[in-house]
Amino acid sequence: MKPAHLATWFLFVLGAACRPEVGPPISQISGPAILAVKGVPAEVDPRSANTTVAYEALAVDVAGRVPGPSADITSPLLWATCDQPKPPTENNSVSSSCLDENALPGAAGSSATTYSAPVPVDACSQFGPNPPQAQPPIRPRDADVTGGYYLPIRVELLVPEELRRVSMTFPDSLVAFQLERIYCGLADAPADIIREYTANYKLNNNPLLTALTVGQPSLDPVELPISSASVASVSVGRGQTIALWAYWSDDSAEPYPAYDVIQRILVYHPREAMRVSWYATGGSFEHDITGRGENESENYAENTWKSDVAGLVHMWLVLHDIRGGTDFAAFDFNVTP
Amino acid sequence: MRPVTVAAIMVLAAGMTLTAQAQPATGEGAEVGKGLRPPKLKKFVEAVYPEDKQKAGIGARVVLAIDVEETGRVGNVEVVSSAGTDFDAAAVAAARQFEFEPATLDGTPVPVKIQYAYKFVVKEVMVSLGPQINFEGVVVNRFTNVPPRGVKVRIVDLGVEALTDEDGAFAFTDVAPGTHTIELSSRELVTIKTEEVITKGKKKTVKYMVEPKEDDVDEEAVVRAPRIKKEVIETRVRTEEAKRVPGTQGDTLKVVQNLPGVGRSAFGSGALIVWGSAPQDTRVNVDGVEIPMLYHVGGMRSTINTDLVRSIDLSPGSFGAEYGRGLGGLVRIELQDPGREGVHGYVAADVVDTAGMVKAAITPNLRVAVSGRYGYLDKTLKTVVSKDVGDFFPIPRYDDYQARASLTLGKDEEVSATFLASDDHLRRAVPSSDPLEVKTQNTDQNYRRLIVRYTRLFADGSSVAFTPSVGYDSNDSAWNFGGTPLLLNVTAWQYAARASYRRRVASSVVLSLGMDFQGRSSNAERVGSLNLPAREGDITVFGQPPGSDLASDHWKINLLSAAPYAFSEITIGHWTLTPGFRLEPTLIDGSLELPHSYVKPDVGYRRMDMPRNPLPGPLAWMPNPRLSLAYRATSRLTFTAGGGVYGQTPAVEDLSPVFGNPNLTSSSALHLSAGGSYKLRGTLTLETVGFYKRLYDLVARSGLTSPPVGQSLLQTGIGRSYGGQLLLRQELAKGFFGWFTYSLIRSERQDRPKTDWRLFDYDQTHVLAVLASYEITHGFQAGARFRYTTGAPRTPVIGAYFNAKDQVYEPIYGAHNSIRLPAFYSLDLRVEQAFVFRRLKFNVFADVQNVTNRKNPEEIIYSADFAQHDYITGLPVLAVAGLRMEF
Repeated sequence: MKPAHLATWFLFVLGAACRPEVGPPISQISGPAILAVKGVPAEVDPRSANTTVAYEALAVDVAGRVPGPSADITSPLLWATCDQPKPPTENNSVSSSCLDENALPGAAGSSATTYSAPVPVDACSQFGPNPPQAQPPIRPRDADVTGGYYLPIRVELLVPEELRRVSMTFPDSLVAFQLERIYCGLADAPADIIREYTANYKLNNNPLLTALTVGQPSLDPVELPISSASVASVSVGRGQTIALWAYWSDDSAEPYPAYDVIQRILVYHPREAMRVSWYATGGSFEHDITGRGENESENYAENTWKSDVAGLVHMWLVLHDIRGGTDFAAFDFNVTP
Repeated sequence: MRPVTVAAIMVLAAGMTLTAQAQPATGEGAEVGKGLRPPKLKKFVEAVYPEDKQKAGIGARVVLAIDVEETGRVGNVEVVSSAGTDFDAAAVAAARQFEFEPATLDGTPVPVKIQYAYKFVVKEVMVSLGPQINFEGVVVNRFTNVPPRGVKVRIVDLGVEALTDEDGAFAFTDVAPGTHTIELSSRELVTIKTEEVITKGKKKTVKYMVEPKEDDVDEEAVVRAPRIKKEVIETRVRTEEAKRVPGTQGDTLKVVQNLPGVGRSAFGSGALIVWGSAPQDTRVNVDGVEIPMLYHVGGMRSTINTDLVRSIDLSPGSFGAEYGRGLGGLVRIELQDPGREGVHGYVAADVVDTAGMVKAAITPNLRVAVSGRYGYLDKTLKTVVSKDVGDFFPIPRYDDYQARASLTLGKDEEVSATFLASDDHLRRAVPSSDPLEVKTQNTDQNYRRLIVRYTRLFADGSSVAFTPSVGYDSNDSAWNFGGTPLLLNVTAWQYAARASYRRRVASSVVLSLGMDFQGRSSNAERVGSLNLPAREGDITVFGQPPGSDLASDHWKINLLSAAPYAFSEITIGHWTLTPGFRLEPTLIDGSLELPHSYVKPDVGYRRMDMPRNPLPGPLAWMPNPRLSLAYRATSRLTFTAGGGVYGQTPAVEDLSPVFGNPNLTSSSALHLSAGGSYKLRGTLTLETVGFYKRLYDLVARSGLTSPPVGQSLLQTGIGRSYGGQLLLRQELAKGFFGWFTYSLIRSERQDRPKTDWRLFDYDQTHVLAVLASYEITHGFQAGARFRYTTGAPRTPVIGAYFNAKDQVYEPIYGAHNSIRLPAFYSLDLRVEQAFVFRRLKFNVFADVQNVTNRKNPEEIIYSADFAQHDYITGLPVLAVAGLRMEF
């Protein structure tokens, strides 16, 4: 390898390692944003009978979740399933063609924030290891470290003019992609490993947030329940540093097998790595994302949050497992003067 | 200097004034009138000087009346004007013995009487005081002012010679007056011939400033004419100058970064960007053997000890047929002899590293040197800049070490063995609360070279050189990004042999023949995303996380290249032509034509490859031509032009069937250049060059959404770079040197047919450097350097979308490479004081970089949502102080 290549790699990767602080942290919600998309089920076998996935997006604004009757954004989210894999010339996780609204117009779902669509039956040939028959043969897609392949689902949030900001995805909208995990089996491995993998692999399930525990100075911790029907709230004092613990269910971090491409063996991961992304319309978190590695058995992630100004602060937690499963929850913090 | 005694030798011939005066004829009464020609003295007889008068220093004048007969004989002689009896008698006696051509009247001899004044002048007799020195001088190195020892000074036409002493002095005695050819020769010096005029009675004192001899330079060419540059565009810097360039911390090889045509490399890369070529396309040769890296990773130091280096040559393009396997420029490093006497060495330490060298003459014919260096910049830099500087710019721990032995086998016959080694290591662990942000890094980059070099210069001026070498390169990088591995290991054995023969076949033609063999046996392993590492032309932003896709491959490549070459230097009047050709067939032997499969056996491949000429039909497969022209318009003004076709085999990393394409072939390039140089004064030169490069069959990523197996990379790319450079250079003289250089360059690429041309990732439109160094007083030097370069192109981010799975924003790009980083400029200063304490010589220096504390943007950094951006800036003002002790 030429040194110049190596140096480029050094710079590139090290930049990824430590990003200087430019602009507000990602956890600070100061305008419209799409924070998460949850697909149910979290993983689909395109060759199965039922491949329909129900998607739900977590789109928010400083006023709370949107679109909603109490918010400034009322237009429903627009959804689309992208069938174009990314070419080798692109470094992002989805093809730039998936952003083309002319080629891929979005559609509203059954509600303002939900959408249902089947995973295409040829998803594993487009996005997986089983390319369509052709001469010369097509290069199969590469799995991620968990052995997963993903179908990009585009969701677009139309932003009213008064809420638009610099450098949105488009002048009038924000776009996010959910990468829906598709099961394509294990390719390019010894037959016995493929058999073992097929026998032991279980489709991923979405993790489940169970509670948020709030610890305030001189007070006993308060556990906020999580409900899809209502938003739990708690009062905290202004300027206080609050300890937060986000819990997930015991079966959220699932074990799974994956093929190790370096050692060329099947590796059984004891549990999925879990990540919690923290978002709030006020105050500041110590970390934007906290979590647990696959060798950590604790089923919670901790963080601290410092309130700054009095008033209502919306907080969202997004839980991800490493295979793409998602859950999210919302809380309200009343910051008292 | 020896005492001077000059014998005052005054030799005055006896004064003789012959006055022919017409006399009235006597006897026959011949009349002297029209048609009369006076007699002409044929035989002069010196009068006997009266002894007492001579001793007393008394002169006299006696006027005589002489009868000259028609036969020319002397008749009667009378004294007309007396000076005394003794003077008169002596004059008359002498005059009687005179013989004349008779006087004639209308052609007929006639007798005449003439008057003749005989002068007696005191003659100063030459007295010999023994042998006297009348030609002496001193010989010194032109660049160091240090007298080389044992220089043979020969007066060619007299066949006498002398050796210089330890002060460089020589002297000759009793050199006959006249013009003489002087020849200075030594094993270490360029042979020089010059002419000196020795005047009778005067002593000639001279000072010869000579240059160290260069390898493979035709002695005859040096003696009879200025050295012919093999490369039409070449900048050579002597180590004595290079050591003093501010901003290089005394590292000779870092001066390359300040030469014309060389772009600035970003801090932390040390890449060589010459004439708009990719860094990996420029070759670095040490004594004719290719090494993989000139600088340690990070670019702070070169990988070869400065004190082993005699000179550095940079050819940004259009170089000769001796070298190839690269589309870009050529850096040639010549190593020097360890030294011919005693034990010497040095120890040096600064905030960057510690280095040392010992060299010794085991016998007069066997000289050895060992040297080493150990770097610790990673630690010291953190004390002066932010603690996490290493998080953004890698500062590996590095070391290098060398050994060299030279053995003189006979007159002008020598063999040397050199061992070079370089290591870079980096170990990092970045903890994070986010499990996917926990990262580790282990990188090791090493190379070794064992170079044997045999050279012989024959009596007829021809020369041979044979340079076999073996080397080992290793580049291992292992990363882990939150559980996602990235791995790239490439190891390679390199076997090479270079043989050359050079001979003057006619008075104006020197022919060089050679064979450049190189074999590389590489073993490569790669795991990770298809898009990492990013290639030139990839659209990305600094710090973008690697893709989550994971591929793996392990492959072997053997490259065997035997490149015969030939070129000749033809001098016709003011013209010098150097036509040449190079045939560079390469056998590519790969272990995998298709990705490894568990259902099919692996299939390898073997094919011949050769860089193509950009010509139609069979001409494409002809040997690659090289040509340089020089026209010496005047002794000061020279015009040059040159060009050639160059090839480069595909990189081993690109021949992976998983990540690249095993069917890649050689890329090629056409170089054209033209310019001129004008010597304003002896050491002050102005040079200008214009150039054009066209690149063919460049490797680029496939533009297909779903490329075929083994075709992730294709040779659909072409490129062009063009521009000009100007260099005003004052070579080291009277303690001062410096140069001003400005390059105007544009470099573009087209990755696939029918796509737009884009700026090359390393394009820098304006590159300016001004530097100077002056020895203000004895041992105290000060210098300054100013650099300005246009910022590198970048692709703007015009929006972003949210990747909900990974919880990150990903950028949406504007036009490819349509914006630039802000311009870079920096002022650097250097002061150095040398002093001698007993037998030790000390040098203390301070090298202050970026004196104005300019915050030079090195990269664009974006906020998490790409809504805002800022710049990562380079080094602040940074002073590097160091001490060097020589013994």
